[in-house]
Amino acid sequence: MKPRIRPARQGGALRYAQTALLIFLSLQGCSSDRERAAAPEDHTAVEWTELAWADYEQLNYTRALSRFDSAIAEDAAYGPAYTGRGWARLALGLSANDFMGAVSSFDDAAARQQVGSEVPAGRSAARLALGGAELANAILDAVNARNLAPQFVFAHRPSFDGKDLRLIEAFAKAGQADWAGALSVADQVEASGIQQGNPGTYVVGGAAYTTFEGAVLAHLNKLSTSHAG
Amino acid sequence: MSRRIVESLRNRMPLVSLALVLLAPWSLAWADSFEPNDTWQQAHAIPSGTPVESWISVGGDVDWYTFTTGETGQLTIRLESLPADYDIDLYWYDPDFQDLSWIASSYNGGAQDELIEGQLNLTGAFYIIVEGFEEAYSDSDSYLLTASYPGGVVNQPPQVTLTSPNGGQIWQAGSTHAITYVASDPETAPENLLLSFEYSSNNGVDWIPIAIDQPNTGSFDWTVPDDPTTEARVRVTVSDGQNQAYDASDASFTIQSDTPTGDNALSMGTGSGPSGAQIAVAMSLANENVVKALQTDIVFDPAVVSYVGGASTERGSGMTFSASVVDGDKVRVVMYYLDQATLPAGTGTIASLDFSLIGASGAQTALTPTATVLSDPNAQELEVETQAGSISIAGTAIPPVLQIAALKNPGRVRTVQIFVLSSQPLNSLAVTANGTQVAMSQIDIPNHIYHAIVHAANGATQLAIAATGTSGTGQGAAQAVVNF
Repeated sequence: MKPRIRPARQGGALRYAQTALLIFLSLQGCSSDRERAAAPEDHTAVEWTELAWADYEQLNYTRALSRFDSAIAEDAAYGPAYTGRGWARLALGLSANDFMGAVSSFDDAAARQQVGSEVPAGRSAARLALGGAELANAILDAVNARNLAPQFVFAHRPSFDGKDLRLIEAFAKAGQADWAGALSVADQVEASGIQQGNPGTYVVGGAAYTTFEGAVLAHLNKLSTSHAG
Repeated sequence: MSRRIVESLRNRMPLVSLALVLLAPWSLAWADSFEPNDTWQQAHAIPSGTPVESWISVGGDVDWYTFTTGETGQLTIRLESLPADYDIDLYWYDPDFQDLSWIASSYNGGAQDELIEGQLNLTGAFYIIVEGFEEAYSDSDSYLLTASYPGGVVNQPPQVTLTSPNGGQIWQAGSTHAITYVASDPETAPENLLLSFEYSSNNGVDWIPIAIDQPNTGSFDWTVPDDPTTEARVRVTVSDGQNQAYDASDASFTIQSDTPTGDNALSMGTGSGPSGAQIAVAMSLANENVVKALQTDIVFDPAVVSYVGGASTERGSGMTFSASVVDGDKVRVVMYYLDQATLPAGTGTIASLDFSLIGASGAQTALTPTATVLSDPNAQELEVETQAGSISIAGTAIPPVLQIAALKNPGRVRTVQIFVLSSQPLNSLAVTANGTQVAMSQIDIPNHIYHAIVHAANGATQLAIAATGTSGTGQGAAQAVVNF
C-alpha cells in the first residue's frame, strides 16, 4: 500500500508548522511509523527517493524531480537522491542549461560516494546531449560505466543497458567526426561489415553508399532506430 | 755606441774589414739550445743565413758555433736580441798550427747588437764564440746569432701543400669550411711556421686576404664570404720567418650566394567542369636549383570553387604534403622532404589540388600562387617566379546528394543528433526539425558533413527533418523522420 504523501513543494509557513507538529508528537511519545506514513508531509530522504523513482518508472519525470528535490531537502547528504535528480533532469532536458544541471547532479552524487555505474551512465547521456567539447567526457563516462558494470542495465529503465552505453560512445565519436572510431564501437552493438577503404562494403540495409562516412552514418542511424534507449 | 772595438789581423791572414752596426731587435722566437757547446771542440754547426737562438743562462757560460766553407767572399755575423752585454769573437782553425786563430771581435756595450762584417779570404773551419761581458747572462731571455758566409748553405724555404679546397667544391656563403694544408720546413720546427690565407674569386688573378700569421695546425676554419663565383680558389702561404712558400687550389671551386640564383618557376594548371563537379588541378615546378621545400598560397575565388584536398604527385611524390584553406580564399600548400632527399633540377607536376566547382556556369577563377617560398637543401631561399592557373565552370550543374542521419540519445531519446552529409561542398544548407530551423555546423569539411543537436518536447512522437542544400547552381534535398 502506497503511503500518503504531502505535495512536493510547499510554503515556508506550512513547513514550519509541520515541523512543530512533528516535534510535539515526538515529545508526546505517541509517534509511530504508521502515524508518520499517514501524514502526507512526513518522509525521510530515503522514502522520498523511493517515491521519486516510482514516478520516474511511470515516466512522470516532473513529479520524480520534485520528489528527488524533497529527498535532498530532507537530507542534503543523501547521495542517491542526487543520482535520481540527474536522471530526472536528463529526461526533462530541453536546453543546454537543463543538461548541464543533470551533469551537475551526477557530479553531486559522485561527491556523495555514489560509485555505482548509474552515475557515469546518466552523466554520459547528459554530456552527449550537450555535444561539443562534452563529447569527449561523454565517451569517458560511458566507458567508465561499462567498466563498472559490464552487464549494465539501468534498474529504473531496463531498456537502457550496456548497448546504449556503447551507442552513446559511438554517437559521441560521430559528433567528433571520428567515423572509424564510431564504427568500431557501433560494430560491437551490431556488426556492420563496413571496412574503411573497401567501398564494396559500404552497404547498410541493402543500400550502397559512395563514401565510408556515409555508410558509417547510415549504420549508426540504423542502430539508433533499433537500439537507442 | 761602441764601448770597445778590437780589430786585428794576424800577419798571415788577409784583411778582414770589420764594422759594428746597430741593428733593430729581431722578433723571431726559437726554442732550442745547443748545449753542450762550451768548447770549440763542442761547437754547434750553423747554416748560413739562418738565425740560431740560444741562451747564456749562467754566469761564465760560453757558446761555440762553427761553420766550414771552401769559398771566399762576404762574411756577416750578427748577434742580436741581446738580454745583456754579450760579445762575439771569430776564429779560424789553422791547420798548420792545429789551433784556433783569432780573426775579429765585436764588443758593443750593454745589450747592443754585435756585428762582424767583412771580406773573408780564408777557407776552412771557422769558430764563433758568444760570451757575456764580465760573466753577464740571462736565464730568461735568449739571443739570436746569424752567420752568413760564402759558400754556406742558405736557409731552406718552407714547403706547403694545400689539400682542400682543391676544386669542385660548392660552398655556401656564410657557411664554414676547413682549409686544410700540410706545411713543413727543413730547419724550422713545425710549430714555428706561420700561415696566411687568401682567396680569389677570379681564378687567382686577384687575391683577397682571409687571415695572416695563423699557427700551423694543418687546418683553418673559413667562413665563406658572400662573394659568389665559380672561379674561387684559396692560397695558403707559409713563412719560417725568413722565407715563404705558397700553394693554391689546383682547380676552381664555387661559392654560392646566400640567395642562390637560378630560374625556378611554380605554375598552376587549368581545369573546367560543371557546377557541382570536383576536378584536380596540377601544380608544377620548373627548377634549376635543387629544392628541399616549398610553400605557397594559391588564391582562388571562394564563390567559384572550394578546396577539397590534395597530394604530392609525380616529381613531388616523395615530398610530405600538407594544405589547408586560410582566410577563406587561399590554399596554403607546404611541401618538403623529411629526410636527406631533395628535388633535383627538372620540370613537371609535383602536386595535385582538388577543387569542387560551386559557381554558376560561365564563372571562372584564377588560381594564383602568392607568397611563394622555395628553399634549397641549405635552407636558403631560392628565387622563384609564379604563373597562375584557372578553373572555369561549364556545362549542366550537378546537384548535391544529401544524406540525413538522426541519432537518438539513448539517455533521452527525444534529444537527437542530426548529421547531414553532402556529396559535394555546399554553398548553403537549410535544415528544419518539426518545422523549426536548425543551425548546422560543419564538423567534417573534406567530407561535407554538418551536425546539430535538437531536443524534441517530451510529448513529441516524432521528429521530421528536412534538409536542402545548394552547390553551385545545383540543389539537393533529403528528408527523414525519427519516431519516439
